[in-house]
Amino acid sequence: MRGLYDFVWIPRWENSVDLSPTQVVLAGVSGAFGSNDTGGDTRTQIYGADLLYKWKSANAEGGFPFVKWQTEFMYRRYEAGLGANDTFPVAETFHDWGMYSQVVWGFKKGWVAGLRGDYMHMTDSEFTDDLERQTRSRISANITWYPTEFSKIRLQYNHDFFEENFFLPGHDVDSVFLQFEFILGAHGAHKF
Amino acid sequence: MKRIILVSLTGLLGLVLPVQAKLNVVATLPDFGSLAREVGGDFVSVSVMAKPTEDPHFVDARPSFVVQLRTADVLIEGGAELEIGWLPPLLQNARNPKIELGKPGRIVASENIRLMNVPANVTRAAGDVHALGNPHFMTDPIIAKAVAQHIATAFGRIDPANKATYDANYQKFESTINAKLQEWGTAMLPFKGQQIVAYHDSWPYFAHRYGIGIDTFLEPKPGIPPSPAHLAEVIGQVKAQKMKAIIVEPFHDRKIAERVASATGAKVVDFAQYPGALPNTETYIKLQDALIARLTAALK
Repeated sequence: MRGLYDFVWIPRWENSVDLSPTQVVLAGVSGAFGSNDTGGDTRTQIYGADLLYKWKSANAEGGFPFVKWQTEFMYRRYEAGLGANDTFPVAETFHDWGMYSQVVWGFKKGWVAGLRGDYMHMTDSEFTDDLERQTRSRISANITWYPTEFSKIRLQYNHDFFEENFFLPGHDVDSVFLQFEFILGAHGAHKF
Repeated sequence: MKRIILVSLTGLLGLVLPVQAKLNVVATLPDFGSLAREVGGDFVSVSVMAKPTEDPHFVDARPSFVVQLRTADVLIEGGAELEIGWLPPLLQNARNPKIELGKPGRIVASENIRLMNVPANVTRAAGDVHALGNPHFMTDPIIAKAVAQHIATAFGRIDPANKATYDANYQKFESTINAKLQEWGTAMLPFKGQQIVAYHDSWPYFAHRYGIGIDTFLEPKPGIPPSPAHLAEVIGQVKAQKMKAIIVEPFHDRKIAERVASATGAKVVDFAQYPGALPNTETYIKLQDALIARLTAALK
């Protein structure tokens, strides 16, 4: 323990404005600062910003219809130290950033359609061949049905673009997710 | 020097007090807001969280509501789990000791009200049922009168200087409701015993007050959207019992009610629980006037 330097600091500020009785905007900035585990004195700084816009009909039933547009941006300065494991053979500092933006539309009670784009930029390195460090982007579309407030079934299609880096070639990936989720216990409208 | 300070302080208080004199009242729903305005008159400033046209079970917990609650002197809620999905997180964030449960600034309207349809067994198989009973009690004007009295007592306790005015305003409201009840009762009398259809089970108190039956619903179970099979069953019931009206609220899918109406000859009647949801219904009494006028017109 070396004092305050060992803590992880996570400041967050957010504010909200009601644009009209049916429209709200929520904006926030956040950060996380602390040591990482790649060396004795290596640090990571993360900065984030986010924006949420929501419209909900004045005649909403069960929370529908609504439109939500959400965007988040994140930047990371990452000091990779030498020797903690084999991933980083030399000490390097990475400047990585990424963002996503999604629109979801609750068009009918229990039905939500979504469109999302993601982009993640990784500093290219001639030293680490970490598979996770490949700049990529994704577009995806999904449709979700909530048969009850306790469960959902989602069908999602994704197309991913992986960009070429020093070690890895570029390639595309298509994927389809079918997701079923149910919860027990507290939920939106009632405690029991 | 002391005198100057004293004079300045008095001057400041003189400036500040008239502003503080108004009780800052926040109501979860527009019906409580309307009663608070009737009882509080010029001594209260009332803000309402839910819109009159939206489903009261699902109100967005907006950050601006936290700000309203933080500065509130009084919070009026229905209780009985109607606002359970959105009020608790707002209160937690507002951290206002004046409106904590049990404090004079917290008015729970369902207190001392006998709720109808308390389920013997709470099960999800029955849909979105309320464990404490049906929370739509304000549709009965006699219960609204009791709630207004509750509000007047609470206002008088928090602001004793204006207690006489709150009591007088309540008396005025009470006599208006009493006179109106005669009028509404007379208008509804010819239809006593008639069955009508509702989209959601929001009207047992209203039905009980006027002696009509509202036991057929477009929703198969509370909170569960109407299915074609269930609607076919409802159409059969409407025809068999010669029901003349289908009441829908602004947040319900009117097209579904219209479909049943065209298959049966019943009329769709736009109804609302909350003042302001229909044209010219900005007060509780005006809303009841409109409901009785609309329903009697459809049942004739």
